[in-house]
Formats: sequence, C-alpha cells, structure tokens
Amino acid sequence: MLQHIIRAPELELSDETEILPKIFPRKKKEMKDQGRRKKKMCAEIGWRGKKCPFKMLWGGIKMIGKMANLLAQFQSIKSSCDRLVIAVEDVNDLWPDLKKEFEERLPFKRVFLNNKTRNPVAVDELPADFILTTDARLRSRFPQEQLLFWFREPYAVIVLVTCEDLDEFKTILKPRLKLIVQNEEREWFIVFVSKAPAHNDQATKMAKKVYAKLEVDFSSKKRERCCKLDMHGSDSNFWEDLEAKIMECIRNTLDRRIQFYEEEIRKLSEQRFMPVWNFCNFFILKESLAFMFEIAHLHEDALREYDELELCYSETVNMAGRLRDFGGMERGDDQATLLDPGKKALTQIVQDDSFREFEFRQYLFACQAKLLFKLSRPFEVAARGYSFIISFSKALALHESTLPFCMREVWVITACLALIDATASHYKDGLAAPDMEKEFYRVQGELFTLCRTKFVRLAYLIGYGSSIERSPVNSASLSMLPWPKPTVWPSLPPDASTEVLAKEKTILQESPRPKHFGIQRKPLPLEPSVLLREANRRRATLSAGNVFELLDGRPNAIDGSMQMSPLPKVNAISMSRTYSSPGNFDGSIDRPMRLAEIYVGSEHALRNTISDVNLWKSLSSVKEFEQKYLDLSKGAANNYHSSWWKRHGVVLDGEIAAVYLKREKYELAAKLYEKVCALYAGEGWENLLSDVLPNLAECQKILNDQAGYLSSCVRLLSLDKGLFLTKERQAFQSEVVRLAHSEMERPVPLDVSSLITFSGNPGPPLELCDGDPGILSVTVWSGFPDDITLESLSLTLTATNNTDEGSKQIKNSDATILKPGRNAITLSLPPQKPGLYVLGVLTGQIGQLRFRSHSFSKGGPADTDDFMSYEKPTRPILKVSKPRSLVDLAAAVSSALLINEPQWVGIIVRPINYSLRGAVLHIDTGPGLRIEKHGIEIQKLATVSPNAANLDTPQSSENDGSPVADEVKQLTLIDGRIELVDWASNITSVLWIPVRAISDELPKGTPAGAVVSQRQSVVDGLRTIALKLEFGVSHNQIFEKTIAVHFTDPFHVSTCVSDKCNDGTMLLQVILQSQVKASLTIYDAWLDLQDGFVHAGKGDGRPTSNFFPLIVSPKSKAGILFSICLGNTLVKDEIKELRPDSILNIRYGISGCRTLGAHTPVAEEPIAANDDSQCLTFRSALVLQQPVLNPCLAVGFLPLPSSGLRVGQLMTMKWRVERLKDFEENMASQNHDKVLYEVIANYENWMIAGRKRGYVALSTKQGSRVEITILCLPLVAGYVRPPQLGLPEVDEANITCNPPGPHLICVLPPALSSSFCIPA
Amino acid sequence: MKSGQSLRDQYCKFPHFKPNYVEVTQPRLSNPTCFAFSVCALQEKMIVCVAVVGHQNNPLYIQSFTEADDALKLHHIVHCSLDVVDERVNNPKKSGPTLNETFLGLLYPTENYKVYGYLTNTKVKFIMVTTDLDVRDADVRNFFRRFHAAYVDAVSNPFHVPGKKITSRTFAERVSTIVKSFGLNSAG
Amino acid sequence: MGREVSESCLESLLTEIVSSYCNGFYANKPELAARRIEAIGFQVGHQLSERYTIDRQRFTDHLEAIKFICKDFWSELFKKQIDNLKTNHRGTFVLQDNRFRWLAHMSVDPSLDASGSIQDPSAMAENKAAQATGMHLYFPCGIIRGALSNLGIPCAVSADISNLPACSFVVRIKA
Repeated sequence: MLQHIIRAPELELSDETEILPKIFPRKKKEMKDQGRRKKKMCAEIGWRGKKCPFKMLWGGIKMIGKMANLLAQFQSIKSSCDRLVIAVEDVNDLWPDLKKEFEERLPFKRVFLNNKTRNPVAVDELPADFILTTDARLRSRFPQEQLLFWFREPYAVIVLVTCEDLDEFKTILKPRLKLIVQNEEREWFIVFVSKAPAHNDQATKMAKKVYAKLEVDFSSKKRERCCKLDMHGSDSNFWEDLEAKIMECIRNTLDRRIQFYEEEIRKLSEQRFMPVWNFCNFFILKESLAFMFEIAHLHEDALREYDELELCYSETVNMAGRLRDFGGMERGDDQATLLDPGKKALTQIVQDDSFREFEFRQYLFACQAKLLFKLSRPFEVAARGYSFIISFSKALALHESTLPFCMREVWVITACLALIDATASHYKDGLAAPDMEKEFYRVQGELFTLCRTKFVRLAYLIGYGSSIERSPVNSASLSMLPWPKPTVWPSLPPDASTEVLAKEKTILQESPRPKHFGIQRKPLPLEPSVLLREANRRRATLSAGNVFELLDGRPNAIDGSMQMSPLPKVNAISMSRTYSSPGNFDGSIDRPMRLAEIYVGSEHALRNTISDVNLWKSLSSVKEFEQKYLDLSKGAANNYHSSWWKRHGVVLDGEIAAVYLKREKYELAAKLYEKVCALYAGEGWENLLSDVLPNLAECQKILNDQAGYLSSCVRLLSLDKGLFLTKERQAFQSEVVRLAHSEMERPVPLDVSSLITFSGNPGPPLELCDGDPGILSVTVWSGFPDDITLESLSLTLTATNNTDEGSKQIKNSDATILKPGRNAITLSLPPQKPGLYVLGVLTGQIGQLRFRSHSFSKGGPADTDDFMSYEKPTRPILKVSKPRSLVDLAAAVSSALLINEPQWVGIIVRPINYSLRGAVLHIDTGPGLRIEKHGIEIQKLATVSPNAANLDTPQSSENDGSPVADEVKQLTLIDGRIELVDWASNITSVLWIPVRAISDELPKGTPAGAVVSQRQSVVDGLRTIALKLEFGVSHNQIFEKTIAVHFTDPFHVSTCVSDKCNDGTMLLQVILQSQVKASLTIYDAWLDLQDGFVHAGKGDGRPTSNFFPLIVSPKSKAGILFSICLGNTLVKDEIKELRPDSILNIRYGISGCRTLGAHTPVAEEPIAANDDSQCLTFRSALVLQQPVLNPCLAVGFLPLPSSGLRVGQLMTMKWRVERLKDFEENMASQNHDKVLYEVIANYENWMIAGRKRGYVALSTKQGSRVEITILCLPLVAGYVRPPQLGLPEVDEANITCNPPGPHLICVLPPALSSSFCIPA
Repeated sequence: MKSGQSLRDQYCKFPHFKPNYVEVTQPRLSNPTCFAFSVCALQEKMIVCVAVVGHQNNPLYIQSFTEADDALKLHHIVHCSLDVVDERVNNPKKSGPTLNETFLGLLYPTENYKVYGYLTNTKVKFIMVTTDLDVRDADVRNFFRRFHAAYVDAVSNPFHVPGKKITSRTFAERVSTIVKSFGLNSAG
Repeated sequence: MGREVSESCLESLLTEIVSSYCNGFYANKPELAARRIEAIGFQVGHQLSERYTIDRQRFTDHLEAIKFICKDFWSELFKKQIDNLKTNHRGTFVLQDNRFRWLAHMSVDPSLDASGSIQDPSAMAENKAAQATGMHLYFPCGIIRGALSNLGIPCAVSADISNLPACSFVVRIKA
C-alpha cells in the first residue's frame, strides 16, 4: 500500500473508498463511515487539496537520510508529551477565570475508553492537558509530522462562549461560532457560560433564552454539542455533563486514529518479506500506536503492540543475506539496558535503516517491562526477563568472537541484577495468586543463580578459583559451562610482571582446605576443560581461529577426545584433514602462557570490559568477591525458599554455610549445614550427604556441641560403607569413643538406631512358665568399622497383650564387645509376667555415653515376606505362659502303717509336663514321727495300679514290696533335703522314706461289746509330713504340701469272760482285730495277768489251746482263749507292787507290701530273712474286773427323766445305796452307820452341783437304804459317760451294781433359742 | 594416561584437528570409516547421567557416564531436578497438556546441559542428564521407554527388595547399552 | 511382554503354595499361612503392576487405577476382565469375577453338592471347602493389594466366594 500510494500520486479519496472493500471486506454501512472517517482524517490535518497527504509523508520517510532525525524527533515528542491533549477555543476570554475550575477536574476518574477491539475498558485515572488553541504547542506543525505523530494532536476541542442578549448572539456570536465549527474538523463541543448573577432573574432568563438558541443552532438530534455553566448559580451536574462530552470526543478520536494506524500497519506488514521492506516505518507506526495507547492508559493494548513489534523484529532481523552489525561494541554496553528504554537514543540504535539487535531488543524489552510495571505485573516482568536473558545471552554467544572479552558473562550479570532489583522493588506480597507468587520467587531465584554462576566464572578466570567452594553445586554449574571464546585469548599486558608474580605466589600458597576427619577427596572440577590448555589453544589460533571458532561448540570435546583411547587412526585421518583444511598455522605458535599470566591477562581484559564500577569492585579482591558471592547465594537461596523449589534453596544454604565456615562463623554455618544434611538424609541421598556431613561435624566439634557432634559421627558411620575409606570410618569411631570416655557436661542419650540394630533370633519365641527366669539370645548388628566395647547393654521387652504396664528392661551389665557385623548376645531374663513379648529398644553405654537404638535389623535374615507387606516385623520373642500347677505330691499309700515300727512312707512326685531337673525336696516330719537313718529310695511309679500288681504277685513284695520296679535309686537325706535324680525329672516317680511313728502308751483293750471309739485310735495314730519341693531352672518354683500318714497297731484287742466255771476258773476270750492291710501271722501270745488273777493250769500264761501260728488276714478277727482264775492277793501283797492291769503279749509277723500299707519294718541294713528278725511283739493292756463275790452294798442307778437330756439343762441324778447284809465288825471303823460316797465324772462333759463327796447315814441293818442325789448339767452333746457313784471305803468286791448305770447316755444339743455359757 | 598426555600436547600443537572432526561428524555414525569421529561426537553429545528415583525421592539407581571423579555434581543435578518434577506434578496446570503423561519432557533449560524427566505410574522417577543441546524429543522418549522396560525387568527380579537400591549388574549393563545407543538409532 | 507361562503350571504352583503353607510350614496357624501367601501375592502384584503400567498415562484418581486393575491388569492375568465393579463412593470397591479362573478347576468335597440341605455333614463339608478355597484366594488378594499399593493406593483386600467359581474381591482403600 505504501509503495502503491507513492507510485500513484493521483489517488482520489473517492477512489480510495472504492478500493477499501478489497482491503477489508466489510458491510456497506461500515464502508460508508469508513470513507467518512478517511475524509475527516484528511480534513483534520487541515489539508484541503485533492491530493492525499500520505504521499508526502511516506515520501519523506523514504528518504533514508531523514529517518534518523525523524526518529530523533519522535523520541523527543514521546518524552515531551505524555498526556491526552484537549484543545480549548476561548471565544470570549473566559479561560483565565475558568481554567482553575477546569483543571481541578483532572485527571479524569473512572472513565471508559474503547480499546483496539472496540471493547470498553475502564481507566481509573486519565490524565489530560487543557491547551488553548492559540498555544504554540498546537500551532505551526508540518502536516506530515502532524500525521505521523498524531497521537499528540488534541482529542477534543472545547469552545468557550458567553453572551448577554439575543441580538448580540445572532449578530456576532453565531456567525463566529459557525465559522469556527466549520473549520474545526476535530471533535468539538460548546460550553456556554452565563455570567448572570443568581438574584437577577432578568439576566438569568435572558441567558436561558440565549442558551436555548445556541442549542437549537448547534446541537443536532444525533449529537448533543452544548452545555451550560452558570458562573454564579453553582450548577453541579454541569461538570458531569462536561466530562461526558469530553470522553465522548476522546472515544471518537481514539477510534478513528486507531483505525488509521491499524490500516497502515496492516498494509506494511503484508509486504514484510519483500526486499523493499523497511522496518523503520513499521516501527514508527507501531510505536506511535503503542504510545497512543499508553497515553490513553490502555496499557494492555500498548503491550500487545510491543509484543507484535518484537515478533516482527525477530522475524525480520536476521533475514537471509544482509549481515547486520550486532552492536554492543560501545563503552558501557556491558551493562544491560533491558529496563530503561531511554538509555540510548533511537538514532544510535539505527544504522543504515536497520536496527542493531543488541540495543534494539533490549529497548523493546524495556518498553514491555515499563508497561508491565504500569499494569503492576512485576512477576511477568521477571518471567519474561529471565527467558529474555537466556535467549539474549545465546545471541551474545553467537557474536562472542567479535564482542569484548567476557562481554556475555558481564552482560548477563548486570541484566540479572537490574531485573532482580526492579521486579523486587515493584513486587508487593499478595499482589498475585499464591502459585503465581511462588513462581515469581522461583524466577528470582533462577536469576540470582544465573548471575551467581557467571560471576563465579569471572572470578575463576582471574584466579580466585582457590577461594571458590568446590561443591557439587558450583561444579555442576561451572564445569559444564563452556569457557568464553574470544577470538584471541587476552594476552599479558607488557607491564604486568609484578602482578604475575603476585598471582604466582597465591597459586603456590593456595592449598585446598583440609576436610575434617582427614577425609581426602579429589576436588570437584570447576572448569569444563583445563584453563591452561584452553587459553593457550585459543592464543595459538590467532590467525585462522575464526574459521572454526564458529563451528566449535564445546571445548570439553577436546578432553573427550583426550580421554578416549587415542587411536592411531585418529591421527592419520586428522593429519590428512590438516592439509585439506584451509590455511596453515605453523607460524602462529608462541610460548604458551603460564596460569598466572592467563589470570592476569584476563583480569586486564575484564577491567576493560566491565564499565560498572560496583561489579568491578566486587571482583577487585578476594574479600570483595566473597562478599558478593555470599550475597548472590543468599538472594538465590531465600527466593527459592519461598518458591516450589525447596531443594535448590537448601543446597544453596549449604554454599552460604561453606562461606561462614571459612569465615569461622560456626553457629551460622552449623545451622545451615544441618538444614542441608536434613534434606539429603531425609531422602537418602547418601553420596551428597557424605560430602556435607563432615563439615557439619567440624562446626559442631568447634562449637563443642558434643551431642550434635556425636550424632553426626554416628550418622557418618551409618552411611553406606563404600562412601568412606576404612581409615576414615575408623576416625569417626575413634571420635565417638574418645568423647564417650571423656566426661561430657549434659550427657544426652545418643540415638544409634542407624548404626546398631538388633533382632530376635529367627524361629519360635522362647517359651517360659510363669515365674521362670530364662536366657534370651538376640542378634545385634554393629555398623562400627572396628570392635567396640559396650560398658553395658540392655534391651526392653514390651508385652503385646497388655500395654498398660510399660516395657521391662533386661540388662547385661558386664561389658560386651561388639564385632563389626553380626553379634549374638545372650541376656539373662528375670521372671516375667505371663504374656507375649516383643523387643522394644536397645540401650547401653559406651564409656559414660548412654545410647539407644530403636531399629530392628533389616540386615538380619528377616523372613522375606515381612518387608513385602511393609510392616515392621514384630515377632514375639518371648512367651510366658499363665501360672499353672507344675507338679503334684501325694502319699502313695492311704492305708495305715505299723506304729512304733520303721515303715516306708511313699510320696508320689508327679511333674505336670515340667522338668524337675535339679529339684530339691525338703522333708519335715511332724511330732511323733521320725525319719530313719538309712537310705531313701526313689523309683519309677508303676503305670499299672499298685494293688493290681499286688494281686498278681503277692510274694514279689517279700522284703520291700515294689511293683514293676525297673529302677530303684538310693538317695540320702542331708539335713532334711533330698535332691531328686535326673531320670526322675520328667516321669512320675515315688519316693520311699523310712519313718517310725512313736507312741509310748500301750494300746488298751476294751471289754467286748463296749462301743469302741475308732476315731480316738485313728486320731492318735495320725502323723504328718510337711513337704516342700523346690524346682525350676533356679529353684524358683516352690510346691508345698503336707501329707498325713496313718499309723496304727496291728491289732485291736477286746476281751470278755466267755464262761465262769463253778471251780472258780474263768475262760477269758481275747478278740484280736487286724487293723492293717497286710496279713498278720501270730506265732505266740501270752498274758501277764494283773493282781487278783492267776492262770489256771500251767502258769505260763499261754492260751489253752495251742494253734499257732495263726494267720489273720487283713481286717479280719481272731480269738484266743485263756483260762484264768482268781488268785489270793494277800500272799503276793508285799512281794511285788500292785499291777494295775494285765498285759497281752503277741509275737507276730507281718507280710505286707509298702505300696499297700503296713509291711515288714525296714531293717537298718538289709539282712537275711530269718524268723526272729521277722517276729514282732505287740503288747496290749487289758483291764480285768474282779467278779463280785460277797456283795454287802448295792448301788442302783435310778432312771433318768424320760424327757431326755439337753446341753445346758439342769437335771438330777439319783443313786440308791442299799445294805444287803448286816455290817460285820471286822470292818474296822468308828463310823459304822455312815458311808462315804464320791461322784466321779468327766468334768469336760459335766458340771456337778452339790456335794461330790461326802458321808451319808446308812444304818448297819440289812435292807437299810439311802438315796444320793446331785444336780448336774451336761456340757457337750452326744453320747457321753454319765457321772458314776463310787464308794471309796468299800471294797469293790463287796459292791454290786444293781441296777447298773448306763455306759453312755445321750445328750441332745442345746435348744437354739436358749443362751448358755460354755466354760473356757 | 601417559599416551593421553602426549596426545594432548599434540593437540596443543595442532589445535585445528578437533573442529574438523566436529565438522565431519555432523552426520552421526552412519559409515564405519569415521569411527574415531563418532567417538569424539559421542563424547561431546552424550548422556552424562541417568538415575532412578523412588517414590519417596530416594535414589534407587544413579549412574554417571563422565570421567569418574565428578559423579557428585551429577547427583546434585539429579537431586535438584526433583524440585521441578514435584512442581510439575503438584500443580498440574503448569504442566499443561502433558498432564498425566509419563514423559515429563525437559526439566531444566540450562544453557549447557539438559535434564529430562520421566515419572512412572508407580511414582518412580527417571532422570536423564545430557550435554547434547539439540536433542530430538522423540529420541528422549524412545530412550525412556527402553529404560523403563529395563527397570521393570530389574525390579521384577524376586530377589530385588522394593524401595531398595537396584544392584543388579545386568540392569547396569543394559542401561549402559541403552545410553550408548542414545540418539544413534534415530540418525541411522 | 514376550514370555508367558502355561496356565496349568501356574495353577498347580498356586495349589502347591497353598498346600505347603497350610499343611506344611504353618499347619497349626492358618492365619499365619494366609498372611504369608498374601505377602507372596503382594510381591507379585507389586511387580506386575510395574510392568503392565508401562507406557500408559499416570492415573489421576483412585477410580482410574481400579479400572486399570479391572480391565487391563485382569485381562493380562486371566485373559478376561472383571465382570462387575461396584463402589460406594467412599473408598470401597467390589470387583466381581463371575468365573474366576483359579477357582474354575477347583473341585470341592462332593458332599458339597447336597449343600442345599442343612444337614450337619454337608454344612461342615461346605465350610471346610470354603476354607480351602479361601486359602487359594489369599494369593490373588495379595496381587491386587500389591498392584494398588504400588500405584500409591494403600488398601486392604478381601475376597468372598458366594458361589463358585464366581468370586468377588472387596478393596477398602485406607484413607
């Protein structure tokens, strides 16, 4: 279109309207006002002619020479006017007094404008200027620039008029206005000002009239072009009216101008790829439009314009063919100008109609940034800026060979810093959505990092390498960053020898900081390839280098080829290549530079490159460098911290820490290092951790933070073995041990879970009975490189079933030495409560140092599917069963044994599936029982029931009847203790103890027929044995039992006089009842009679008939007859003392089995079974009553009341004493007619009231009788012997009992209600 | 290294050899005659490091293919690149179209090396660091596919403990072959 | 996924596993045996899920993962998909397979045929058979659990045999 215009000068506007449809096909109507708008445009410029003004305009621009000053003008205008202009046509000098009020309205608030796409956009503040049309600024402009810089033309025209009367209006004002309005092609409207004072109705009426007229004449239906201002009567809504009108004008103007620019731009951009294309025109149009948007505060649109402009530029900038000047060669170009557009005049940017990339791209970005800031989107500036810097530095890399040394690095540094400052200062928290904010901080961090990298690279080039931490971060960022590629590596300036020497010195002095624990590591590289070789190579390629500099991408390729096994083939081929390659280089090799020289050289070169004093200052000395380095690192870290990229931040903290460590600010360093270590440890990056942790440890050591230091050492030890040499790990351990044995203030338990782990042995848990101790064996894994001695070691057991009572601790206090790797530890286990137990925590001591470990060893042979299900293998390792009876003791025999004879007492010891190994039995015999001296026997209990065995083999039990006695063992009793034999520990066994029950009173015979109280004999035949069995692993289990053994005489004897012969002999029958469960054999029996009796016949006291031996089977009776007769007592009276009763002697033998009961007494030592050894003697006392021969007195028991007796109930007892024959004189005594009586009663059973003993009168005549009565009270219920009446002075032989008293009488228990007392 | 030293001197004397290689080796290892160049090319356009990172961001396998001594820096690069992976996964709207794709694409647009990421369904991450600045996306995808297959075979070994480091030698060999063949098959 | 293994081998292996764990190692503690078998299944599922999710997009939510199990995973294992998937939308899913291959060839006590009646012996036989089959189901349960947990979904899986050979697996996702 441009060219077209110029080629066809004779283009009519009408034709143009014809052409329009081709350009943008629109609807008819639009076309119409399109055309109209065009007309207006031309008119607005005030061009009346038929020719189109554009010709001249573009013609003007076509002239290359002019363009520069056009640009200059353009820029000056841009800088001069930055507001909308509103022209004021002051017809009758009202402005001076209105000016103030008008300008108070500025800037306009909350107005709506149409943007490029005709959508209303709210503008909060629209600044504007009121300028009189007579003002110089609006006059005298060349038309073309008028059009070109259209954005500064007025957007509205206000015509200020006033008038008092109609005639004046008609005659003077109206024509003038008509004239103005005619000429005035711009958007205009009239403000009528009435000066009429409020009180003067006349004047106001007039003013109204005039205004009405004015409206009639000037405003149409379509458009309302008048408004009225009362100077005196304040008229508020005038101002709204005014603003509305102004805005209307501005909107229209804007629309029209946008339309125009758009069109032109479109036309230009259509021919963007034609050779005649001139970017400059495009640029001016675009930028004018953009600027117009900007002053209209339509920043979005302005920004879009710039974006399009940039796009178009990047498309066209390196179009094939024309090699342009890149730029960036001037002094100060090293400082990035990507934020202030006005840094360089556009004229400087332009060079023979093309824009230099270096400046112009920065310029564009600066404009965009400015707008973005105005839109308060600093985060977008940052984001765009970062990518801009990256891409721009690529561009710089392309032209690096022509740019000054390290220009690229320096530019990036300055650019980053500038961007960071600007965005940070514009950024306010909460400005953006949280994730946007995070993103912003991330970009900031990136900028810092980039800047930091480049900065460190520069520092390295000038020889600060030794003071740069060779950390993974720096190595990663630097060792992959290619060296700068100047055409020629900066050579040494002539007069720099001293500096070289200085550098040499520093190089010699520098030594890598020794790591703690004497850890030796090859320092990480900070250079992509050896600087020395790189530099010399580039120096060497002075002449022909450039040819391939362009091709040469990566210097480290050289190393690559170095590292490869150098094949001869390579050389061969390369040789051939040499000759084929253009140019030869033999001439250009001079002495290679030394490192120091390289440093100095690049330092000088940099000094020339860097124009920023601050930057240079921070490179001027190591100290300054470190400061800057620290700042940059901090900046990066802090920003990363508030972004998504936590790791980046923390890692950089590590770098900061390194600096602090060097500066000996250990607290800070330690704090930061801890963060880093936490990060690496948390995610298990052991290699990285192993690089940092030693530094942390060093800090802690210096800070004397023993706890921290210890834990660091432990962590170091627990890292993967491959990461450290053995001697380093040994160093860690020695540190631990050293500290452990030094006394530490505030000793804290050290967690060694990662280092010492433990596990129960595989297999089923150890099972214990309640109260048993045990030996628990666990596996402990030690991660220490050497043996380590633990002063103490203890494990806690936690009960799985009941958690309420905490975990118990089992200790093994003596020092244990852990080998590296697996150790088997056994711990003695005190008795535990019943339940299942798992291992809790392992604690112990190294020196004074208490440590604890929570972790079960995975290293152990864990059963492989436990970890598959990802739950910690908590196998129970101990099972304590509930308390139960473990053993039983019982008497082997229930039947009676022989009293006064050594007998076997059997005790059955029955373990209830529990071992009695080493059990000890305490035997304590009760009163009246003693244990025979000689051996105790133990034997296995017969499985068959003993009595059955006995029935089978009665004879087998001859000496000691033991049933299936496969094994009998002699035991000895040592002060009441017996140790059981081991073979008996698990089987039921019986223990035979020889005892002898002692009772010294003779057994009494009883008259036959009398009720024999068996109980009595049972009771005094009873003996007890207290048993106490100690068993269990450590005799912890105790079982006590007292068993009763029943002893008895072989026989119970009863007698009766079976017959009384008339010759005075009596047959005495003695009934023997066997009391034992063994057959007794009576060999002999004789009776030693009491006084008053003698044996009839031969007086050997043997029974009459001789039928011995007599065998009495168990529980059966036998009878023996003796013939006796009364003997005179008088003879023997003084010979021997009175014998109260007669004794029955029996010689007998017993054949019993000890498993059944009574048996042959145990011999002290087993002797041959001969008779007399067999024979035992049994003596029993008998009471023989003399028969009554000549009774003189009779005592009669008078019957009791029939009601019966009750305990606690008084009753009377009566006896009748009767004289049977006359009293003879021979019985000497003075009191003939009296009888002495006595009541004999058992006072436990009876309470006697009245006289128990006394005389009663009884005449000496036959037949005289008397009654004796006493009150008595029964005390116990049951069958009791009643009281008896005795006559002490009368010989028993003279007393008959007639009727005889009862032997026993029945006493009923007391009536329940009655209360009585029982004598204590 | 002795021979290497001598060779190095030689290069210092005839520094122009190498660029010629590069020039020649632009067509990648197609004809066997220029094996030497291909070696050189591999050296400069190569995968520097591959890593497998578990679902708790713990390293399961990490192997560098540079000259041994600087493995640590690669550890660092891989570890830091996890930040980007997390970011991509945690706020999906950034990752945009490749929302749930296993291939995460380029994580790091550094000017001298590139880091690519791959996130399996089981939250296992593969990281690849290359110094090849003009990699074809297809090549990387292809690489990761083969790598993933190798990984699956490795962890399917019944003796492999999930979540523990991969120590299988066969896996290592497979990985190194995959790495060596990276990019070549695409050219051929 | 080149290599495959004959199904019969797999089934007999499974039965062997079950019998050797139930009658051999842990004859007296069935729950322990079950746990072990389940754990084996877990490992298998863990590894298979790794393999079968190769070159497929990451799952966004639980349902997708479960669907994967029902469709692709299941058909990789059993050449058929899960027949019916139900869920209460609170993290419980029921996967029903109308003809579960590993139960298809399982013959239970003949007295089970008379299980319609409520006689004691048949009922006993029934629940004995139920126990036996239940033992065989711990393995697939483990597989499902392993696969899901490897996909980052910790869960508990239980099986239920209403009428053979249909069987349904209940997945409860641990929130």
